[in-house]
Amino acid sequence: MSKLQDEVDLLRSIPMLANMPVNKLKLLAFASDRVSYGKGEALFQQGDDADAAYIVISGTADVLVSTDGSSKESKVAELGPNSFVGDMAILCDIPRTASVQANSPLDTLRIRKEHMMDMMKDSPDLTLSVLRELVQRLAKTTHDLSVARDEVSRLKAS
Amino acid sequence: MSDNDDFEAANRPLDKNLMRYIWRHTRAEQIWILFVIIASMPTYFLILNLPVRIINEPIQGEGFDSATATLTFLDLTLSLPSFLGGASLEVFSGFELERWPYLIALSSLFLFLVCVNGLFKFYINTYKGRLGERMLRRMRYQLVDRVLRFPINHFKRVKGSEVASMVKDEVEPFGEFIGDAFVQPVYLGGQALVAFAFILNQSFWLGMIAVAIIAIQMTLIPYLRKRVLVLGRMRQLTARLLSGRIGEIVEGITAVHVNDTSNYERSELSNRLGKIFFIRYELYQRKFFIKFLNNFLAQLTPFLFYVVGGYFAIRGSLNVGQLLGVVNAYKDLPSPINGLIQWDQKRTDINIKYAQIVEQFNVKGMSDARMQAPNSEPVPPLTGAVSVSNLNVTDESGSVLIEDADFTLPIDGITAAIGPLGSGAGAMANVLAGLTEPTSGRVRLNDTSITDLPQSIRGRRFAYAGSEAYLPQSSILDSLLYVSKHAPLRTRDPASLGETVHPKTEHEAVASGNTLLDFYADWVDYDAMGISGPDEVFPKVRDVLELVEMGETIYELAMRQMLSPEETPELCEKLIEVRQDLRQRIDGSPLADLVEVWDRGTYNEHASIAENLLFGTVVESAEFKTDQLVENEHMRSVLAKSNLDRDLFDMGIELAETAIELFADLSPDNPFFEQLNFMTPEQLEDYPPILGRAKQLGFEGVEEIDKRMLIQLPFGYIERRNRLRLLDDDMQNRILEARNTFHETIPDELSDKINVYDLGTYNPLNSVQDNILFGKIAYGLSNATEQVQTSIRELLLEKQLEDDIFNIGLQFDIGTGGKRLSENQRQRIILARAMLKGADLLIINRGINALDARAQDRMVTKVLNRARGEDGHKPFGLLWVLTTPGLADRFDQVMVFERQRLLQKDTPAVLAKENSSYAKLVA
Repeated sequence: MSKLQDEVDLLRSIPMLANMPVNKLKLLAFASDRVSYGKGEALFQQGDDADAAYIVISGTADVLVSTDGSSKESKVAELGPNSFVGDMAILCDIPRTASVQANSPLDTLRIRKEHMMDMMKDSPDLTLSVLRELVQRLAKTTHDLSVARDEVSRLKAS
Repeated sequence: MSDNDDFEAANRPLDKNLMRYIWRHTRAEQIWILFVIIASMPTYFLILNLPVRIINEPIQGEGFDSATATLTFLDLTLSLPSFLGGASLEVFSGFELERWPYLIALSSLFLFLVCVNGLFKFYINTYKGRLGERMLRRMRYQLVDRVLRFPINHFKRVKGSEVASMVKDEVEPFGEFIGDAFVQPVYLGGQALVAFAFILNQSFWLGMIAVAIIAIQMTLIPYLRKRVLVLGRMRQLTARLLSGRIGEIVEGITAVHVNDTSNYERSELSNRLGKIFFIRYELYQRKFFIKFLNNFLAQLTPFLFYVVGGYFAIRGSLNVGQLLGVVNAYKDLPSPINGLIQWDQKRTDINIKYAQIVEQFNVKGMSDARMQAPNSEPVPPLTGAVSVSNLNVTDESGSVLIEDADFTLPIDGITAAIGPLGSGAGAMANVLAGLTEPTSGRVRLNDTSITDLPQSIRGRRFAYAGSEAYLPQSSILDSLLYVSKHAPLRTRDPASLGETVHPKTEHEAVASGNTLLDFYADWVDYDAMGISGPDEVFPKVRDVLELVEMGETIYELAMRQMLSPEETPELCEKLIEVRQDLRQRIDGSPLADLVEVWDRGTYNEHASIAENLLFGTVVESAEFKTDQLVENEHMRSVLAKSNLDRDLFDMGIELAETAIELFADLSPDNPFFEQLNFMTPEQLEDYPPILGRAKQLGFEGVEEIDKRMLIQLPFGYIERRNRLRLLDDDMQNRILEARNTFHETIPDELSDKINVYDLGTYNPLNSVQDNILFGKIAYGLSNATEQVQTSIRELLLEKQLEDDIFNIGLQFDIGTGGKRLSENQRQRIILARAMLKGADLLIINRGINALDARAQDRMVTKVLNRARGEDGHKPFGLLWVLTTPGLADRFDQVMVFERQRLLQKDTPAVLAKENSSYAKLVA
């Protein structure tokens, strides 16, 4: 089971999954796919239906957002190893809110939506961690938003 | 004109009485067979008579008083009975023969007569059999002919499987009876009369006893049989309902599964079978009681003969010889009488069955046979308009479908009809298409009532696509061409059929009153499609399929098809070339990682251990199954030779442990199980005890059955997919060695059950795609499948094989009811073929409603462009009952329906100006 062990460790390094029992993490590792992308290949596009979340094992990826639905996308973040991406869309059944594209050879672990959902049904701990994570993100977004608002009003005023 | 007579005959209701039906159609044959039977009688009597002569004359020596005495053989003298004067005429004086040759001569004559008699019987039975089969064929044909002419709304009440059971099973016993229908009573009655006359001749009173008993039989038995007949009818009805019910279970099987109603169905079935059982059981009781009574009465007569006759004999008013004669003659009486009774029983039984069937097929409102008269002449295109006045349609339950509609619809007009479901728009379209009869009002096509038009006009010049997406089983190509098959237009060379046609096909069809239209001819109306013949059909078909956006689907279906190199040798050869080109293209390109090709000397990590060992595709059979490879003896011996069995056993333990650890507490329908490729959820429960025993006893000690269960597990293991690192280089090399041993020492009976991967040969057990690919698409690479498929497609285009592949896709078998296609695909096919037909007016009644809104939008645009004659296509009229009213503004005219009434009919521009229901619907 040596190789699964690597993946289990990887999963455990994700804060959301850190408290999961080992056998559940193993199951998740067993059921996920290792998927590699070449530089420039997209993991998914903004607006797509979401069917999976990804954990970056090695390499980096860009998060791109286009605001007005046009083809012009601007980079909003860069993801490195151990980052969990695409989780929001699979949890809430909404279309992808951003595109993610490999900007170097990228190695990922792909977790299917139904597997993630099943894990959450079984494990209140996991659900709580997910909730916590989301709330933290929301707090961060709210904070960013208020900063941005201040900025805007300051600019308008001047 | 005889055609006219045929139509008249077809229009008449079926005879209510089976005997009349049989007599009407087989009069001449029945008389002929009776004549043959009478002609066979003398031989039969001679056969009975000859043995007596053989024993008496040559054997016992009667008439051979001296050693040289002779008797005349074969003298033939015709003589009149003595009361007509007894004159005789010698026809042939015969031969004088001594005793020994006389014996030989008589015996040979006996043998000859036996042969003649046998031949007579053979002829009579075959003749009767043929007669019965012809009638059966006629009856089945007539029944289905009537089904084809039932009024459409009658089908709401009819179950397909019940009709099928009537046509197929219920008429079956008629065949046997028909040959005997008239011959049997005459023949048996004659025999009975002769025996009876003899008895009467001997003693009037004894004769009267026989008469009395027969009279009792003749009154009592029909009386008892009344209930039997009722039961017979019940048996038939319940059996028919049963087949209808089974049909329903099959059709509605999804509802059974999703609602857990299988046990309700079981109980319903059991209840039904119970009823059938009790009916049948009572039937048996009564039938055998009647039989018992019959036999008893037959035996009672000799009893009375002995008592009464004996009394008279003792009294001296009857001599013993006469009594013996009567008793002897009576021996011949019961069997014809019983035969007659049996015949009558069968007759009434079958008559009831027949009446039951006829009742179902004499339907009110059946269309005139002339309306469906075959017409091989081209039907000229329609022009002008359909004018509808005062149209009312009410369904059989009395609810109004459309009320007081008046409008004119030019045949070449481009019209949309909008309105919610049940608003009358659909009913209007169905009336125009001839699917619903107007209850009142007039629907006229250029001054002819549309209901008076033969189907050859509406069926060819109109095309119809409704929302109902039923397609009978056939290939996609045949489903598309089906709507163009109106009459046999071009005869085909019998050699090209692949099926031999019986030389008497036509003769027999005439004898059974079947149609003579040649099924094997080419029925497709190419002229109407605007092409000159079958060679031009392919681009046409492809064009309509691309129009309904089915091209991609057809291509994908083709890639999944299996081809036989024997049937399509050229294509298979070309596909091998494509395979080799693909390999060249892959080597050294970014594609190289995407496919791991089959190579005899390399372990394929993207394939399972089983696939690696076999290195070929298996013809599944009892002794050689891919999912039970361990049961194959040769495989086991190969594994044992290289000690691989021990390693697989250890791997099996490891896999079982992993599976149990990860999956044991999951319910069997958990989505995670899809990822467990080497074990089923059910098997998961079997493994813990096996695992315990295996660990305790080890490879040597464990029982064979446990050992096999564990060895089987790793066969499904795929290194790159399961990522458990069970296979190091050494292991892979040993599996490769086992692969070689397996093929080098393969026994003959196995070698033709496996197609070994070979770069130069086409493998008929694999799909087209797998044959081109000749390897496994890699796990763990993004879009690997899409990328590989794109490059295959490019290659096929380059090699100009796309059309051939498309053709293969057209041969795809769509399954019963077209269920191997999705509803959406079936609707597309139905629209495509309506376009293909080349009709003057295309009626679309909420067709393609299973498509998503965007696809419907695209479809409406494309069809409209065609109707308006885009790109030199032949323009046609269009009447579209739209599911999405918003699309109506693209049409020239719009009909707005609401609450079963036609509110407005005008151009969309005018309608939009008024603040009307149109605006509400379109918004």
